[in-house]
Amino acid sequence: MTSTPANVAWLASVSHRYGKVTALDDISIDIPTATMVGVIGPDGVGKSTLLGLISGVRKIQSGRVHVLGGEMTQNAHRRNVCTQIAYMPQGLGRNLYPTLSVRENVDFFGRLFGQQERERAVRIDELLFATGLSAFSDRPAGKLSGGMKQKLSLCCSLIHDPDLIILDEPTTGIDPLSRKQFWELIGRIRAHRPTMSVITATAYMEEAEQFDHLIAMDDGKVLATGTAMVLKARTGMETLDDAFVALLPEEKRKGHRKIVLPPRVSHDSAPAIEANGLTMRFGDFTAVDHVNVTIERGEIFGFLGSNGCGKSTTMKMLTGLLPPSEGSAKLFGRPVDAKDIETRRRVGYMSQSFSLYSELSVRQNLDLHARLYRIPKPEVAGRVLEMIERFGLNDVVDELPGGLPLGVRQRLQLAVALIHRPEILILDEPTSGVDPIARDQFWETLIKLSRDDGVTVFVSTHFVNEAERCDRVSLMHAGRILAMGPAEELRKARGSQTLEEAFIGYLEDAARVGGDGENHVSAQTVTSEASAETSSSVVSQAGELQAAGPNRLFDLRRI
Amino acid sequence: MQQSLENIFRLGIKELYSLARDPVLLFLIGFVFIVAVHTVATNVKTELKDASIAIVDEDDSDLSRAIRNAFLKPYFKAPTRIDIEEIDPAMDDGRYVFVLDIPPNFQAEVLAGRKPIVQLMVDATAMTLAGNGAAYIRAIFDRELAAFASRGNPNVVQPVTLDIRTKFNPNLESSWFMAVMQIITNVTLLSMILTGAAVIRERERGTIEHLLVMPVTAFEIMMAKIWANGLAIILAVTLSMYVIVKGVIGVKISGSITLFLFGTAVYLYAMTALGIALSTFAKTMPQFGLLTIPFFIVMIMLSGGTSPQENMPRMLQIVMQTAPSTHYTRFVQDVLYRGAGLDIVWPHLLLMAFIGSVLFVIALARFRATMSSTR
Repeated sequence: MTSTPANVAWLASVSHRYGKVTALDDISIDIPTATMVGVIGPDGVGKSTLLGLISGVRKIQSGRVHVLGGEMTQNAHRRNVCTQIAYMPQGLGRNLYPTLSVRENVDFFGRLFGQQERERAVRIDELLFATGLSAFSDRPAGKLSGGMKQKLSLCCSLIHDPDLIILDEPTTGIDPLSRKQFWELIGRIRAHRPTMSVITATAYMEEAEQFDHLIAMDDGKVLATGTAMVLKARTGMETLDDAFVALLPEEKRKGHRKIVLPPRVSHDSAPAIEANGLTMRFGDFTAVDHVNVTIERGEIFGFLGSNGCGKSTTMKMLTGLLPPSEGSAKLFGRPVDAKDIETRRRVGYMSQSFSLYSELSVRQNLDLHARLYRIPKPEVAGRVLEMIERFGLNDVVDELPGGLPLGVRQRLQLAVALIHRPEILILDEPTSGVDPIARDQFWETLIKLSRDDGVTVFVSTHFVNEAERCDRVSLMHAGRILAMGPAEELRKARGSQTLEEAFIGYLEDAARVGGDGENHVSAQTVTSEASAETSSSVVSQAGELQAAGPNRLFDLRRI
Repeated sequence: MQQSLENIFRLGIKELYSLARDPVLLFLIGFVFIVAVHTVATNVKTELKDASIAIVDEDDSDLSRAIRNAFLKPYFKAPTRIDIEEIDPAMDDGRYVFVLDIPPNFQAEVLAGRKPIVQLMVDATAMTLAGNGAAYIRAIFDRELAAFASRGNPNVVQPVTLDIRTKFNPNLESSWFMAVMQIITNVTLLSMILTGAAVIRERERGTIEHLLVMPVTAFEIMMAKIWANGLAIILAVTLSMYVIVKGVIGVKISGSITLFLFGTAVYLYAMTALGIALSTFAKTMPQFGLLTIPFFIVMIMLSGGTSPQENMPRMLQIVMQTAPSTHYTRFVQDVLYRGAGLDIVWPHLLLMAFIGSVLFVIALARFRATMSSTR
């Protein structure tokens, strides 16, 4: 390891532990200067710890961390360079004060760095203009959309012209268009200040393809470093996702294979899920705006959209957790009724976050759910055993779920959701943060359930590549379904290379029509056609809207 | 029905597991029913102890000396003699709570029957001490005076003697009173906090959502929380009653502890329902904690456990009838101190059950409405 100007930072034999958990295990890497460096890997592999150590917010336990020409263990150096480093923590707008306005937030960070009033005014105007936030400068940060929050966070990080900017998953959970614009913004800032180095963590492999240098991590270790091209060439894979899997140790990859979706045999029976003009308002905020969906029995239906676009709310209305403000939902041809106990026994639900009892052991959790689902007493033990076998939970039956790895917890949640053999399975972002292998295994199970047992699977995700494994997907934004159909057809209909591009296209269309991107466009007259369409054809509500609305130029503010 | 009871049972067992694996709440239960009951009962005293007193004796006669020597331990510290000029600075510094000024020629004037005036100055910043102490001093003074008056003529007989018999707490020991009142305070506090926390914990982790999509009703979820947390508190109260109150502190209980525990169960029904109702108004655990404080303080201060309700304005007494803690305090005092039976305390039990049911219905309605709208 040498401290050359070519490296903005280097680490030598760095280890970091939280109690018994090893987050980083003897890591040594160089981080080149004036480049865009991406740290990739699933949740819990040590990405945030690594970024925290480099930025100086975490205390170094062992090893050497050299950043911007000095050791971060030396307080004097750390104090000096901290004004040259900007750090944006994980989570949407975590460094923002929700009750302060957009301008006040940036102003506050300017004051922290001791800038005078006139200097601040100039810088703030410049940054807000560049990010398209000028029009919203008086709006409280808490009322911004996810994408806008991240842009404001970025403004706050950039106010002091840092030489090194560290971003911890800045785009997780925001829609593809906002994501694209976020990276374009970073690109422009880098063009303006070419000496600036950027280190970023991401969960999206498509994003990582565009970075100059990648650090692939797993289990607190570095798997490989280099450009996306190098990684793909080394493993002989076509996509970065596959390359990452190929880089994992042999034992982890065992039994992993590429996901194939066998064709579906269609059933003649009544649709499993039917929603008509489903609408949910919270005060004057419309979370779900006239959603029409018909899902056939045994179909895998994907719900693709950013955080806060209304996916979870729609699912809650379908499960009867939330009574809709308007419209109706039917399961098996029967209206959803919160009091209808019988229908609940035919539905399995897996919520977004881990929501099992962490104070009960794995077996106790399965047992409790089996009994609450009224499985006949003599069958309970057998059913619990069956689930333990099927989801490979044998080694952990008596452990508490809290200490288990994310992938295992997720398998347990699926086991709990399936213990009563439901006919419909509703899954709310089941795979967020799980490593690609566990994710693929999870999908194999879902496909088997659909194809072999005829279970209807309704799954929401913000990963575009997962949506491609569904029979049909619907693209959702701001409470409305923009388009619906098989992924392949959606892509073709827009003439795009990838589904992500197609989604961005639909989002741009929708934004062009909308007045203020923050508020929801009233659905005008479009929704009625959607319900009449059959499942195989592409329904484009956005196309209709485009024709109806005035053709305005798209700009950054409309996210 | 059968299924419903089973669900309530299963969910309740789950609650007990949650509680058993929550070290903070377990510590809280142990602390309040062991340490807090014992410390408060044995250390908070309403009787006079070690009061500091100074005497300005401008007479220095037999009578004034007799009075000076009558202030004894453990009620008073040995009296200090000070000069008349020292009174003001000493009281300003807070060196003495009481200063007694015996004027010159005091004894002579008493003998001449001229009714001399003695001044007692009291520092009333410590109110209970000041009030009790002044009464003690007056009694001591009267006794010494009477003894002095009868000294010359041993045949004088007082026309009336007042013979005091104190019932239920013959030695007027505050620990007897405090121990039981502390149990009431703890039951009130924990019943609200445990159930409310159980609801908020489930909501924060998202497990409540999971329950609501299952064939389980809000009623069953609530009942399970009530019986499980109620059971935990009843167990703690029973132990505290037998081991700490009767055993370590040595309070003599005249009534039936079984009846007391039964009444406590009725009270817990009302209070756990209140805890759940409050938890539906709070979004987070800290918010819930803050919300319980005013309810707790009002119930503790105004239910008759701290000071008798008879001393409060009529309107407040009527308002406080709606608080289950008022009836519980009465019930506990009647059963444990006076040894009252079911035939006497049933109206309190009935009222607690009624108030509890009203709270339960409110809590259930709020619970249904708010649980489903969590986003």
